[in-house]
Amino acid sequence: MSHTTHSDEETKALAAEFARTLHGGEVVFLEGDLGSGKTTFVRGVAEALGFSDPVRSPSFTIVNRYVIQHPTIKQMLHVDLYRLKDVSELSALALEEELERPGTVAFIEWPSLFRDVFPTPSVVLTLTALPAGEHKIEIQDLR
Amino acid sequence: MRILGIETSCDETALAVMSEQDGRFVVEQNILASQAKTHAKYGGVVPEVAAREHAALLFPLLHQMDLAPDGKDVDAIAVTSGPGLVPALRIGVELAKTLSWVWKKPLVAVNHLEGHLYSVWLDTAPAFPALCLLVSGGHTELILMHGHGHYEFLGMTRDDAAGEAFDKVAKLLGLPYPGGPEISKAATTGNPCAIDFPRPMIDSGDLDFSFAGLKTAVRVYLASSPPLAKGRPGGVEDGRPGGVEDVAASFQQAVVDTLVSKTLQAVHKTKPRSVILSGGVSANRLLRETLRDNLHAYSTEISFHAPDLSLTGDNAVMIALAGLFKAKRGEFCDPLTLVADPNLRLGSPGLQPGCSPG
Repeated sequence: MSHTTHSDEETKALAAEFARTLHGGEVVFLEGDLGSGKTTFVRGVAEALGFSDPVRSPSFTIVNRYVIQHPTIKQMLHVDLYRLKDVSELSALALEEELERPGTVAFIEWPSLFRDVFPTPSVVLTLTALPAGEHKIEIQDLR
Repeated sequence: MRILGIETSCDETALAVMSEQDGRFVVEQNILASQAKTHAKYGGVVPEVAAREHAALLFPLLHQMDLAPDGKDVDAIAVTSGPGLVPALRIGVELAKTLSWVWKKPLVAVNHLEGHLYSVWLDTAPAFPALCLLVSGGHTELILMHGHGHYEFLGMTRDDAAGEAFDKVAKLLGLPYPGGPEISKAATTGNPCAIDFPRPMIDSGDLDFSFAGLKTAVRVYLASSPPLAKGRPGGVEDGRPGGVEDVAASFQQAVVDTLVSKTLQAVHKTKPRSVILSGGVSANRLLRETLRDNLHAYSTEISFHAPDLSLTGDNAVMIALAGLFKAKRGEFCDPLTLVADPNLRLGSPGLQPGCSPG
């Protein structure tokens, strides 16, 4: 399904709607260029799940972990593989350990180089920045 | 006192030995893995994020320092315990705990941000309260230091760090990583007024930052303009902004204006006696000079401090320095219980798990 949002607020509102379909155990891939709204979308999901600290870009830290108070979701992993160059660097992050924790929802930005390493995604989001500040957000649900 | 500093919170594997002699701080040893000769010898590569690179590099580096095997030539050990990448932090923390236990030397846990703030103490002593602008690839924070070890957070980035914006805009412009130095280099021949990029949140009334929008503004600008030529310095002759140099200069100016404006707003609010600029982005000359000059114009009573260029990026000298001050206050940790904390906050002494004052 494809959506067009006209502001960060609209992107976050769409993300909040999407958050209601999550139960824990999902792996969500986010495809899209720099500035296409990936982190804004993840921020929208985290806020909708009641996370109140600021959601910052994980480009530098690679993995951000947000503790969630929710009946079935215990944590969100916000992963950004932008800086990684090969699989050996990924394995050193011990992500598998975190992904396997019950009640984890993982959002993975820039997954393309590492598609084989992760479980089959539950959802693939493709974000595109359009001229005039609009964003196209395509939600491909594989669940 | 002589102290061993260990830093492995992110990309850099670093060790340093510092001492205080007659009230002066002396860097006795300072090793960064990316500069170490051991690299070739051990077939290692410059670590990006891989913790096992830290593990593979730390022991050869420690060996290279040629410390006494029983640890008799150090009095304490300081280690970065957070924030940072968990697997990377763990390597340094576990090494520090082991050395502390085996050598029976006290252990000091240093917050990485605290290390950056203390990088200026090597050759100067800012008066308190000191207002600190910490800018790096992972951080953009305004912190008020009321005294040694007493920090108050005034503001921080809500999305991207300033250094991250430099890296990402460099990528958009086709410049290599790391982006900071590359953008500054390109900007030297560009026109900083060529493009009017936004100064995000400059009038927000609080002391928070946001750089994601600025990055997006650059992307939108690039998408809507003809392909950029390189080497059209100050390209205003045909009435429209020119090449990569103009975009780099205009972007850099927007970041610097934002950082300087917010810092001066914080100065106005908190009336500090000194201002400290530190972190990787503090190597940016335009930022250094603009902040220094604007601060001086605001008040000649407030001193300005920025670290030696060799100490702007991650290093272990700053960890050892911060560790020395903590050790003098008796803020030691239990080597059996200290844990690396990726989300460690900079707070009052004694609030970190496994640590206690006195």
